[in-house]
Amino acid sequence: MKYAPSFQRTNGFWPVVIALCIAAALPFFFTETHIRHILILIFVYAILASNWDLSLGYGGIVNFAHIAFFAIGLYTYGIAAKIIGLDPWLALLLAPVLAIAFAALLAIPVLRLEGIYVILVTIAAAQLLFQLVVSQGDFTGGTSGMVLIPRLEIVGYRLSSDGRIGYYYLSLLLVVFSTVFLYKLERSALGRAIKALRDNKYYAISRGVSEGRIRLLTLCASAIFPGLAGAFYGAYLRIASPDVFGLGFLTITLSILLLGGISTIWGPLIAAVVITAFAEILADYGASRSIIIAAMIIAVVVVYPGGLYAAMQEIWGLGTRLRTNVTAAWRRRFQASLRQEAMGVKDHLVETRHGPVSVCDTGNGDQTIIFVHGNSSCKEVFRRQFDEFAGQYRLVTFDLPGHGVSPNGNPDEDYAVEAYAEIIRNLVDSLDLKTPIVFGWSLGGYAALEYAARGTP
Amino acid sequence: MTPLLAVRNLTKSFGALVAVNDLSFDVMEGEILGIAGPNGSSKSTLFNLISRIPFGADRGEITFDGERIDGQSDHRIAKLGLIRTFQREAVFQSMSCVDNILVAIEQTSGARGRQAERMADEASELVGFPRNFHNLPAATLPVFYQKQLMMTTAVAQNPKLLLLDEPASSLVESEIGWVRETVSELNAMGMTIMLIEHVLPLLMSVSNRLLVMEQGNIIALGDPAEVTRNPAVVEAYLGQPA
Amino acid sequence: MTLETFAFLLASGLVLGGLYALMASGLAVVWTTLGVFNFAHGAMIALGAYIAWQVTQYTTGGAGFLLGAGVSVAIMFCLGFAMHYVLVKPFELHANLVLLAVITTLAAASIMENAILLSWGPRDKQIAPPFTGNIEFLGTAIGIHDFVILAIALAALLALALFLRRTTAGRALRAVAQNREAAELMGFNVSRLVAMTIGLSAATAALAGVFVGSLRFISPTVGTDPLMKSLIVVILGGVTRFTSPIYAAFIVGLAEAFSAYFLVLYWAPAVLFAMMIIVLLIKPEGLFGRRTRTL
Repeated sequence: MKYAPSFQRTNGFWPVVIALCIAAALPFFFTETHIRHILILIFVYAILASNWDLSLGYGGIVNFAHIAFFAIGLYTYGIAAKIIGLDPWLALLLAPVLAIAFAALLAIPVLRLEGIYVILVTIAAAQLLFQLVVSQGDFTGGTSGMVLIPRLEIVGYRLSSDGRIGYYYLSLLLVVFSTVFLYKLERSALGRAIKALRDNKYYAISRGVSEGRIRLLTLCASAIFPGLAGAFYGAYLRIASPDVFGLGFLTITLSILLLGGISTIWGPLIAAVVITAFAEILADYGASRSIIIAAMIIAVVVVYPGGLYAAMQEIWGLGTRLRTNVTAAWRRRFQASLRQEAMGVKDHLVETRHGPVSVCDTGNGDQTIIFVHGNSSCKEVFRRQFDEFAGQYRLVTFDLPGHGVSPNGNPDEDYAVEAYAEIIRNLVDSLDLKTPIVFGWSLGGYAALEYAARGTP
Repeated sequence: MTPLLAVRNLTKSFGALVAVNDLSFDVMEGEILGIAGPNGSSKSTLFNLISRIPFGADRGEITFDGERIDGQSDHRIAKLGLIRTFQREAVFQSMSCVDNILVAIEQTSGARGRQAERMADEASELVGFPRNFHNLPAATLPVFYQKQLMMTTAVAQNPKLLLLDEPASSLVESEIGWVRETVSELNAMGMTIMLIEHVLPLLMSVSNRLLVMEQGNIIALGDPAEVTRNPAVVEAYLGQPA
Repeated sequence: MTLETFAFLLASGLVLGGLYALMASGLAVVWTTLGVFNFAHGAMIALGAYIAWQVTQYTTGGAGFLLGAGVSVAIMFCLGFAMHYVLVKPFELHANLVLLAVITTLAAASIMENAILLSWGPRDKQIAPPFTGNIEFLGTAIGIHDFVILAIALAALLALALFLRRTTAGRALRAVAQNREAAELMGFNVSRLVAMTIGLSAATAALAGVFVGSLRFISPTVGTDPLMKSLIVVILGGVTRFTSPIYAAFIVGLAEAFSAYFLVLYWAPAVLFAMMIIVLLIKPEGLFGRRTRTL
């Protein structure tokens, strides 16, 4: 059985919808072309980094020629649209085709090598391409690059008009398509094969995964959107410069990917926003800006090798714990009468080895019955039993840690059947319950069994 | 009757060490061929050479189901229905258990979506892998369940010949019982099995024939009870009689 | 080609080879010990050059040059030693060590290059070559300075080789390179040894930087080209033995000198990278290598 809810039903749905709405509305708040330019840059970086994740993160192929896909897209567009005179839109579509062709060529050496050699051969391939671009000055403009590359128009409307609004939405559209593509791919049979090959190569092959075919497909798939983005970039800036082969561009994109967190689709998207915006804030500081950003990258990698996305999830978890703790405290304080009405007695906190738990203790009789509730329930489920038996027995029940109005426990220690049994033991001691009957419902039943199994009377 | 797997003159050397020395034997359709031998007798290497994972032989012919496979690529052999497991538990650790099984199904059967999921359920049922573990990350499973999961992925591919490499290693008595039942059950369904095992009672109870290796050579092959009385076998296990 | 041209090309090829050998062996030492490619190596070369330049501003002549080189080497050794604790140590047991080290060393390179830019500005500088004058070599005049550079480079490489083979610390380093766990179990302070390796690598980079700075103009990005050249050298030679990249360095140096003469200038680097890819395809362990890691 596979639990695979459609995207509309996952936790990520609303954040993505809200982010999309904000992205779609932003140009109306920021009309300056400069800010729109920054936003477009963010989208380009997001496409580059998140698609790089496909080969580097999911595929485990450390491809340092990834930026070359972008460069190929850029120069393909430039040469096709300016020198050959192809229709700009056709040139835009031609770019990813050539990027894929280069990826397929790249797969030949990559397939034969492992580990750090993959890094080296891909660097060499990118450098070779760089040297070719620089040496073919007639087509590429050599070291000074190409200028006045044709722009994109839709029936005579220039995408650069009205403060580049056309380019803004085109780049947003590219990000959306790229993300949908990656999301679908990761959940497809191909995506599973890609991850299987990375996780355990020989095991994957023994299950019929063809290493050559999957690596080739991984590289080609990761080239499509960078190629498109490169062509878009050429049409947008109208220049193509060999600077895109430089270490600086590669460093920024790679840090976006690593800071965002590899093997996460959303991490690089978030990091693209954070890092590009951060770099923009520091724009006036010149060389110090690069130093600050580099130091920040080192700091994040050293402190948090898992990346921002993992950090965000952890913070989210912390937030949830804080919120539930506050709610529990608030209910203890202000809703005591409601619970008293249900149970016929006021609850109070009793300290145990696993933190304080909220306890109801009532009834008369020599024999005590302890009621232990089930998973995701609370002590108040036993209100009818309390009504029924209060005359004959002493009745005790409590909220397990993180349930009802008990404070949250430590996830590593307190949410386990053994811990629950110890809590029962502590309660028996501190409330002087002698030899109780322990009644457990569902998860509480396991706790009761564990308590009995420990041989405590 | 033609054998399902015919191995002829299989040889593999690592430098000066001859790991597998001119091995020839047949595996008949529907049988369980047990493989025993002391540590380092190249039992696992034999599986490596047959499946070509991670390496093939230097010399020798292997015919599987009427087709020469010694020149074929590694994943292609798996697709022909010759499926192996590994001595150490292997999982795709970043993926959920059901995705582990789905990879195997999708690569060999071409089934997708609901149909593939149904096949994953069936395989889990057959092996006894708990279906409520399906959505857990495979890396979080205890060793026994990881081994069970590996067996499930193999069975999900509906192999003609299943190579099991020490399925019972590092398991406790009750878990070895599971191995025995599963192997017998799969065999009863018509699956041919080669089984490497150190747990001799298990090997003796399920094997139709027993092959004993020592230092890359076959020193005995035949009925399990007879093979264990063979003096060469006793010597290989217990050393030279004093 | 006349004999003079040949001699000139040969001499400049040998000097280039000596420089590349110095750069590449520093890179290779770190690679073999840590399995990590140090992208900051180029920036370390640049920083070494600038430090020496600063010293030669106060003391000139041969003494100044040697003092500058000495100071630069000492400072860069300490810097390299410290770099290990910041850039590699925090995640040396992480599964993605290689990748994380790539990004931290790239970031470190960016920090160094921009720090140079802030401290010394973007204008080109040159370390005054202390030894002027030429000597006759097969009918062509070769600068004495070139010979001095070649001699010092070779001496430094010899010293490094002797250190690795003959001293206790050097043997310990080689032990770490071959089997880190075993070295740890034997009670070596592996962290300090690795830090020392990076320190040594930085020191050779500094020395190479000083030489580069006295042959060409230096700018904050002067290290980029040497980094790529060292990369090619290391790939061609392989890293299995200390000497392998050195042979390759001289081959690359000579090839560069001669191809610049015979081929169109722009094609020379492309040929080198194409050669590198072919070598990786056919013999990934390098032309002179075997498939094991040792120093």
